[in-house]
Amino acid sequence: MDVATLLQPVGWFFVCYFVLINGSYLLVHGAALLTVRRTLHEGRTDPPFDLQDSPFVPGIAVIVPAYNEAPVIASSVQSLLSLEYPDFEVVVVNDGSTDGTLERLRGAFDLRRVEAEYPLDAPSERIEDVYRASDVDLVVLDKANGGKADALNAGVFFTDQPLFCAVDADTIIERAALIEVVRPFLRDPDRVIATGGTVRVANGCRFRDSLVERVDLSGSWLVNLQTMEYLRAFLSGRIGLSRIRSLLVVSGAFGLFRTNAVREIGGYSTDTVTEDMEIVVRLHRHFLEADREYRVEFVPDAVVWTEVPETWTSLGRQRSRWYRGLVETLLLHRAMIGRPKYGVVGLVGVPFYLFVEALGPIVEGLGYVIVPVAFVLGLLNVPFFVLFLAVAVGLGTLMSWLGVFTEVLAFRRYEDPRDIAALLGYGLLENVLYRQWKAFVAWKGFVQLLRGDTSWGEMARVGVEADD
Amino acid sequence: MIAFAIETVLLLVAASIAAVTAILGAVTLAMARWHRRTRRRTARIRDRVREGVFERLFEPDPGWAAWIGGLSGAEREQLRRVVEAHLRRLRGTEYDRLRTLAGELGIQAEAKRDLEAGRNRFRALTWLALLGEPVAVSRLEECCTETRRHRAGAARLLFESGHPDGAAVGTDLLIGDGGRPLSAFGMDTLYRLNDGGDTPLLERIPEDGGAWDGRLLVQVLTVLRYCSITEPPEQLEWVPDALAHDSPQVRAAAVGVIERHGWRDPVQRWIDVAELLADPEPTVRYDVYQLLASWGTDRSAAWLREGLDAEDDREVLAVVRALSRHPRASLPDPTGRLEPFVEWVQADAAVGRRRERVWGVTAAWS
Repeated sequence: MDVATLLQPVGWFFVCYFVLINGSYLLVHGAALLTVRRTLHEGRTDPPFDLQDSPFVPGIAVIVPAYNEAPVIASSVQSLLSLEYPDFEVVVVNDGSTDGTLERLRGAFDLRRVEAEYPLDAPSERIEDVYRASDVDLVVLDKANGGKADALNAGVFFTDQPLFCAVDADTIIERAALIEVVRPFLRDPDRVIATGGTVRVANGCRFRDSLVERVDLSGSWLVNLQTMEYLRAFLSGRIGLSRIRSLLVVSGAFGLFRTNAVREIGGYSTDTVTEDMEIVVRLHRHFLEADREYRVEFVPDAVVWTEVPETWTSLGRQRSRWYRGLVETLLLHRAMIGRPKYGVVGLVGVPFYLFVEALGPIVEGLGYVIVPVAFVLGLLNVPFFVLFLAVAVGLGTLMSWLGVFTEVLAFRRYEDPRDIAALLGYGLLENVLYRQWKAFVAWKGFVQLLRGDTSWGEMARVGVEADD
Repeated sequence: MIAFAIETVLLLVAASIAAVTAILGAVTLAMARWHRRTRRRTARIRDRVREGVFERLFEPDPGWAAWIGGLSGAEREQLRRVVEAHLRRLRGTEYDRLRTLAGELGIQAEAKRDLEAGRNRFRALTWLALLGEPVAVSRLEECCTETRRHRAGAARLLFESGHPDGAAVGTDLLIGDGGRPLSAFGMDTLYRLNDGGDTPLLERIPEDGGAWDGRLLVQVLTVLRYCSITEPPEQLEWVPDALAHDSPQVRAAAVGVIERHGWRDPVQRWIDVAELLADPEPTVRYDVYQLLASWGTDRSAAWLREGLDAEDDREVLAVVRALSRHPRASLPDPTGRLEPFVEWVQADAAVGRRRERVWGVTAAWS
């Protein structure tokens, strides 16, 4: 068999894969648009009752795993304590920090150490000390370093609250976000087990006392490319996946869970680098295997702001970790793939993440190698390739612009039309080099996974709070 | 030939995608510009209107009719939003005046028309409930029983408008079919309808509770846990049956009912505490420990001490905590296995603030 004969089925494989991926994305974004349209059409009517005055509002533990967060921890906790919700406590888990995180907390709040050993074991490193604030609902658990999942487990098994909200210490949570993210639980207390909010890019925005003063794009085009991506994948994409009951990721930066449900499955897994995805997939699996009704929902109006990487190196580390975590989780739960027993999650959700999110960049990366080789060998049908490329760029841009359209239609955090025009520009621009770079990073993550690399990939933060 | 056909198809697809994308981009930009303009204008109008409301709200005669007569359509639209937001917050004279203002804006009449026509029914029910505007029960039963949300809205309206049969009719609307569990709004409404005066739940539970969905029964018992009831203790004779229910959540919620309403002597006599302490579900036993702590008798202290032998550490901690709250019990000696638990509870109490587990709500959310 000569190379030309071999390349023909390979070419068709790429075309079919391309159709599968883009068809899936179009389906997800279409579902998102339908959801947004329905929400806008029906309008939002809050029921005529006062949450602050109702005894039936579930208590929430806001769990903040903190490892070396000294520069931000005091202001972050202060802002969490001012969230609008009638019944919550903040549980900071100091995960063996070496930069004085605990001392900062002790300095900022009137913390009193409980002068006894905590008597219960949790599936985490042992809780060495517990501190309670005398004047606010704040508990600090001090434990040896065990990683983010381990710290979350310490909080989950410590609290008595029926719901817990996992948040990152460096994330800025809008005051109303807790009330927004709990709404599905209030509407459907019996079935909802997890909800997640929208993660938006904080770089370039102006914050004061953890309140958003002004939403702007950043001066860095790398950041703005990520802003575009967040709108497409973390806003529009998740609305669509939630609509088709296939939401497999609740962002680790801000997610609300039923405490008992998470305890039932043994808490967060410490064996994966993306514990936020793994726990949601495991919840799906657990409830589907037990044939129990449940819901995992995305709440676009619950907004948190996070600082994204500003350098290629740190972005690459973050993305390769995300990729490794995605593949790890899919491997761990491969038994769900395509199994009718797992309903729409097994038939649509997990296959979507496998074929589109996990294998998609790998296949794309192969294409970037095969096409030049075929060209050099004179085997590339150039007119066909050019048209195919045009369709690919067109669809990629369309998908990104659908994300921006959803933002403008329903959420409108970016008020300036020039920012919207810029975002549309980034939606076009990301097809050039950025997309190819992401495929390369996915390959790198894949290789790291094969090598057993479990590094987290730290990010240097520059801070987003305005100076006085 | 085939290659040419494929290329033609691809060309058409590429052109179509380009056209759709270009149109989408243009629409997005146009919408962004339009929204920015309207948002600024709307914000200015709303600020102006809000100011106008507050200037007049505290006047002896607000003169709403004359003021509204001079407002544009856009200003009236924003005025409705301001009125809605403040109807949810204000009480007393200010609320009454806002209610009059809503009447001048025609909100009551419009909501009733919407209800009549079956348009935006939950929105209409919400407006009418916020305004405490009565609607005939027969009308509500006719138009607002389709969904759980509508039924809750109608029941809330009965409560807010002070309908004389509101408690009974509203309770039936909410739980009459014994089907799916309620929302938090439904639970809150059921509580408002049954708190204080009449408590129709006390009749409904023994009559129909056995046929209800277990999850609904948990919610109803949780609601009852919070209601103040004036009926004689015989009305609680069904409680021992609930304590023997198959669902541990129902049993836990029933324990909550006893904790709140079981202080009366006959109720305590109906309950077999030994059986409750032997419940196979730890969460039920945790609630029983809280119940015994609340009774505050020597006998309940003795029962609590029996729980110290529990195998599970979390349960031992629950017992020690209950003993620390019991007015007539002392903590056990901090020796042997109990030492870390007793020391922890004492030290934790010494630092003061600790968020207690809220009765029943945990069961309803578990």
